Amino acid sequence: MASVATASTTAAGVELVGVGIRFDDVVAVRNATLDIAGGEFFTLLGPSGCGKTTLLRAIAGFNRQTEGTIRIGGSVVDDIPAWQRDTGMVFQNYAIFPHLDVWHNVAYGLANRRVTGAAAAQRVAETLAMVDLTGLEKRMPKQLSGGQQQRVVIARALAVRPRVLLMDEPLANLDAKLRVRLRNDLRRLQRRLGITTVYVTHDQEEALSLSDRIAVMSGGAILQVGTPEAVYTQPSALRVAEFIGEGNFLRGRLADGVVTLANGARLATRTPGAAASGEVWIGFRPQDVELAAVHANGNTATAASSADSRGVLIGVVRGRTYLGSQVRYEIDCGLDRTLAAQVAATGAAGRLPEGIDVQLTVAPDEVMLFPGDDTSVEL
Amino acid sequence: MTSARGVTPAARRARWRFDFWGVVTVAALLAFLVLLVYPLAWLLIASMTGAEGGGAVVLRTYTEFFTRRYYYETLIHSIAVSALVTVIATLVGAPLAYLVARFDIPGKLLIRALVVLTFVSPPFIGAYAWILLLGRNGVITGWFADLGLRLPSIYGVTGVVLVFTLQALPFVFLLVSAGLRTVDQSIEDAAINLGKRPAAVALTVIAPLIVPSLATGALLVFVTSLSDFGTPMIIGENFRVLASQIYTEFVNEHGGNPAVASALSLILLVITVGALLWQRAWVRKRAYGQETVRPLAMRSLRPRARLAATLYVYAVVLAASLPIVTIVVSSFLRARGPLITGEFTLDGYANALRLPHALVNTVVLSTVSTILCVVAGALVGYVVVRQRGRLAGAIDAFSMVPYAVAGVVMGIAIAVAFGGAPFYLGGTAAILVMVYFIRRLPYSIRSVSGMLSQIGTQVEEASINLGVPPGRTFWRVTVPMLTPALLSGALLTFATIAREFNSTVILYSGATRTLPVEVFAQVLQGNFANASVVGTVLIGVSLVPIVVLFRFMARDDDVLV
Repeated sequence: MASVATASTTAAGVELVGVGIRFDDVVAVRNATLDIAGGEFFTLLGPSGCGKTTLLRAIAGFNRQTEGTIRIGGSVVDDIPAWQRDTGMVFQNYAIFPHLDVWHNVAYGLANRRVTGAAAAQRVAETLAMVDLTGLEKRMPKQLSGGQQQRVVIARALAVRPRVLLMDEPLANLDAKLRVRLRNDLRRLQRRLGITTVYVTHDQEEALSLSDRIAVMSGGAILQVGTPEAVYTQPSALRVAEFIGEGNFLRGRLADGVVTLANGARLATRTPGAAASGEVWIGFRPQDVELAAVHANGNTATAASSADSRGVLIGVVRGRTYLGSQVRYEIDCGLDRTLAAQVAATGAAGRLPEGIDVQLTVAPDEVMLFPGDDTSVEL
Repeated sequence: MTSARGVTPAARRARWRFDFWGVVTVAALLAFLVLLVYPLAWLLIASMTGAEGGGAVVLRTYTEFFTRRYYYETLIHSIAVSALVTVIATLVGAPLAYLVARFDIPGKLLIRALVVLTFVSPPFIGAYAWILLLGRNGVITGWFADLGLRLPSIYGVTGVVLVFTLQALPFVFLLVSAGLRTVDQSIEDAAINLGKRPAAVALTVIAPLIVPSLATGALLVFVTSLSDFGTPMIIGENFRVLASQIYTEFVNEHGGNPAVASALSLILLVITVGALLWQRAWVRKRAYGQETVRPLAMRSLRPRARLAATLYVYAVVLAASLPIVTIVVSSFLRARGPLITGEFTLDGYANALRLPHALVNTVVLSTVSTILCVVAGALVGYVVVRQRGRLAGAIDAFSMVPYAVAGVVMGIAIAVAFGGAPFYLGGTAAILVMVYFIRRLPYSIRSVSGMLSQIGTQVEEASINLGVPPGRTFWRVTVPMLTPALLSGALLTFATIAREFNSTVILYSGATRTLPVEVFAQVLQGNFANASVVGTVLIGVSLVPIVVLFRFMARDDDVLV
């Protein structure tokens, strides 16, 4: 298995400098600058229509960018037509050649690279082995399952030994279980081959689990580039936080590292930007909330006073959803929206009934601050 | 359902076949038996019984056919010409459709309009239009004669192949265009991404995927060329084909010879049905049932390539539509004997004595047949898709047959079966309606069943679930959903029946003379100017529904094929 990993040391990087793509009057991508390292698994993540596929197709050469430069392996490819760019692309709807069997699908691009005869046969066999399709060479596409078709087109793209692998939502058409399995296979294969991969998806879970780095896109712009951990725990903008993972996002006034909410509750924060002051958006993840019942004899005044130091909100449970290992609550804290909290189903916090008074505690490290944003954007 | 007690009222009703849909099913089967099976059976019987003395001759006409050069030569001519036309039309038409579909050729609306115009023109009109242009006294021949040049003769096999090929181009164009719309852009992208140039992609990936459409187009061209006898009779001179021989044998001035005509008809029938079955079997292995998310995109060509493509497209399309232009223009010109002058006149229209009668006949017969076809098509189409059973399967199979039966063959079969005793329908309007109905019913059924399969059963189930019984659901929910398909089907059926010539000319009488028959008669008598006048009216009659279809119903030219 390890013998296949040959190209990793020489893998070509992809460099985008100020790339803008306009169709007539519509700006699809603006000022995209990315430096994707050789061998990296890089994901373009964003909602549909954010420009991620357009950008990927520009790297493949199907769209000519209106501004900026694209380099693959250090050389500018702007004027190289799509059929000479040497990228391997995997399409969302497979784009399998329905009139060719598995073998001929995989061998399709080899003739143009002067790989013929025995060399081609060996290349096809090798590539099919990589994706576990050995033995299905003679099958026609309509005799294959969705997952098998997807592996054929991955093999087809890899067989030409492209400098870069480009994948456009390759798992979107598969059912949930198969998607997770193919995701793991894909990750292992990419690591083994060390091939630079640019991956497009709107599925944040897919992006977080596959990628070395992620670029979060929205409205044609790249909002943040970073490791999965970085974009999840330190989103640079409200829109990034809203798109990656769930969150409770609230308006507040920041002063001296403490945010005062509309209902008077105060939450301490220690995340970047805490030294500033003024109107801000804050956010915290439902999973980062600690939840406890407030007993009928306990008095809210003491609870409120304790908020100063520990970041506590008081509210009433309005909804409870059992999720198996976890329980999710909708809690009314007298704000313009209900807050979500998600806790382990096994503890005491997992057994709170609707209508009960609860207190929510959020650690200062978990309260994210977005000083630059002034409006919440639906993603 | 082992005991009668366990049978619920609903289950009992389901087994009781003679509800409304049961009646429709049986009526449809009867219609096919009476109008298709019975006449074709009579054709077989007539081919084996001599006209004189009524004695059984069984296979004598067939033996004669395959041993006498005078007869078997027509078969060889027919097959050779049709095959040649099919190859040329495909080689010219497929690139034409690809260029128009994929590249920035200017004036696409005009190109499509000209293609549709050619598509709706009556079959043999091209033949005499080319004689007007390139015949012995033709306009273009005249120009070249003035320059001292002699053009090769248009008469004979050359003219037949030229006219057939130009008439066939719309079939190929429309079917390839429709086929190209089923190819997803990502297929082309994938091939380019793997290193193929766009031109190589068209041949290695796109062409194999449109093979089913291409084959359907080729079959239509082949069968249409085999069936058309007007063209070889007008421009072929001494070049005889099977279809023209059938016609000549049947309407021979000295009484005709139904036995020979029937035998020749059956031979033609075997060829066309064989071609249909072979094509279906061949295509079945090559149809891929693709899902199209994003159809092929339009590309820009570099200036020089664009110029070349534009010249090619316009040369072909203008050549194909030139006959129609010729006929319309010449209808407004004064004729001096067989010569048409450059002088403008409306006399042709004012003096066309038989024109009003033929026009009324055409409109009335087409309207009646269209209404029958659409109503029957809706009911039978519904039965085929929604009431799947053994009888419905038989209907589906029957409705394939008329596709492959040439107009002249169907006409003779109906004439033999119903023309004489005991029906005596020869020369009546009824016999024409019968032949139009059976020839066009399959198309009506197909348009309805296609639409029904597309919209699925859920809407109807919702209606039944809300308490409306199936019969009323059909009228209240299904029919309104089908209305656009029914209306466009009706317009198309009308346009096709109005220009129907091959079967009409076998079955008409003086009282039921239609426009296509009148054009043909005028051409044969050498009155080209009169023919142009009637031909122009005919083009108008068949064009109006098509214009309505595209203009007011926003239909694409997809509906034509």
